[in-house]
Amino acid sequence: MSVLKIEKLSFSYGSKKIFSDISFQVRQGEMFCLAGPNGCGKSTLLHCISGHLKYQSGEVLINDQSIRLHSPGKLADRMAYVPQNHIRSFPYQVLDVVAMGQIRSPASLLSKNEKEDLALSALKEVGISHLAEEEYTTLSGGELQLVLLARALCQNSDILILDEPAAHLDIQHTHRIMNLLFRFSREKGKSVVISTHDFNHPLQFEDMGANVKMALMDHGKLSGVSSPKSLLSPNSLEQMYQVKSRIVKVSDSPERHFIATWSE
Amino acid sequence: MMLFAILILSMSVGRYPLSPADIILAVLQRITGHDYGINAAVVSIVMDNRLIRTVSGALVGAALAASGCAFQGLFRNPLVSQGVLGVSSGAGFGAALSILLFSGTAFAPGFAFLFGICAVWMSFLVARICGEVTILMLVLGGTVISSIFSSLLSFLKYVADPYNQLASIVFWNMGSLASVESSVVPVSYASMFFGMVLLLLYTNKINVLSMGDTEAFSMGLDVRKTRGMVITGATFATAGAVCIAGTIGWVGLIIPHMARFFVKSDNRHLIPFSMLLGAVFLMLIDILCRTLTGAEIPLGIMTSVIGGPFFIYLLKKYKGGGWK
Repeated sequence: MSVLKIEKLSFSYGSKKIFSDISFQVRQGEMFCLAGPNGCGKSTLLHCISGHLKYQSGEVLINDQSIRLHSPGKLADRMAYVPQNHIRSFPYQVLDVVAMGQIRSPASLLSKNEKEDLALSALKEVGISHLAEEEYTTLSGGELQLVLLARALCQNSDILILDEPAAHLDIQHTHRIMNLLFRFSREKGKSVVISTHDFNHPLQFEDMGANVKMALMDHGKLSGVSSPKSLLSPNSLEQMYQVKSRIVKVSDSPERHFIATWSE
Repeated sequence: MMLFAILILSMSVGRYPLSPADIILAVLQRITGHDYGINAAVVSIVMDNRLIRTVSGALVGAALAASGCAFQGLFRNPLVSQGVLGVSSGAGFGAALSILLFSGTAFAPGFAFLFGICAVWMSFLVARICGEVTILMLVLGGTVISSIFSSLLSFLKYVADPYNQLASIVFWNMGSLASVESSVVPVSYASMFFGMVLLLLYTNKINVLSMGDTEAFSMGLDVRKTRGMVITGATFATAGAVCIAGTIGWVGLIIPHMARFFVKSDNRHLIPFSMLLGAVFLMLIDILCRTLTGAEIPLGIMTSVIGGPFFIYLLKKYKGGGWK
């Protein structure tokens, strides 16, 4: 069954059309990678799906119910969002930042200690419980991304939406985040939607045996939704990016790697 | 404990110095009606004059600090204070207008209160012109409305009778606890209490709001409603303070910064602690105001003279206010 359903979604800023007629579905435990050139509308699409921006036509459905009918609290029960850029504000403790994921549950339902336990287990889950007492403004970009992921986890929703979760991250943090997302979908049955510029992400998910689909977005349109394997052809990518590319395997390893060549 | 000690200290100093024991006895004599051998005039000074002045000072300090702190969280900016949406300039204009209209300060508190709230409401309307109310639009609206009211205040000063009205306007806008009118006390106290209680109920949500609107929404916060409540709380707390003590700058800006040295940034601890610190700070400043020289020094002057250098020190320490 599809947990998240996008139907003929369109959005424009005033008269400037950002995307139109976008449809796809994400099932329980499925990963969905959204790729496309800079400025194609990926982030805006994710903002519309998460309810931050009001789309003009079409529908975003969670379990067949429009997100327009969800209160912010109810929506946060179903869906957590991790932004591409977080602007740090005041030097809160990491544990407190993660516990904010539970803001919507009233004090009567969860005591302060229970909230802290939830936050701490989310921190453990992403492997940074040693940072719990730190001020979150002093963390590195990679650590911050893990904190935001823990906060989303603390929200306990079935859908996770992440806007370029690995942007600006080193290979170690990228590895960690991607493996966590894979595990969340596989073991917890979460539906994970990410946008990315790196075609190796969907390929690696597929090679790991994830239940993964991807879509390419260009000029505000989706050019098909399919498995990474069938969607990522050098020809279609060259049309979209005007760059030559290849998908290769190294010696006897079964893993595929995406390479864009810089030569004209 | 410290609050209580300063409370007593504040009540003991002045033209007619009293010992702490006398003050406690005087309060008891009025409350219980039992005669502890304190002169009736002394009881009157303590109860009708200094007690109201001291308690007002504490409440005003707490209210200004709490609302300044809440606004710093709401606007994600450690350099804003409660005046950012125009409550202070609106109140200053309102007070001046009433002084001009009625040739006296009798209606100044009421006018200040109404115009202060009115100015915030107008800032909100300006912010709504482009549809969605964002933090940036709020700051913009507040700046526009503040500057309009400041200019109008200048205009009123320009046309005011320089020997009588102008002096009252200027004095009123420098803030003072010297002549707290007991008729204003109920409304002012109620407004400050209401505002502070509201802010205390929202401390946790102010934390989440300071993560930015989209993230706060994603975590399930009704951003518009929460922001409205915080603005309402801060506005009522400030308007109540302004109408009893005039416009006092700096307290809302520097007290939260001082408080951050002790309790870090979590608003659940920061706002209550700022209130405590604000109360202590303003009582101390008020003591200085009435003891340093023979004449009273306006509060607003002392808060800036002491607050200004401290703020420069903060700017240096935090490299322009960035909380990196």
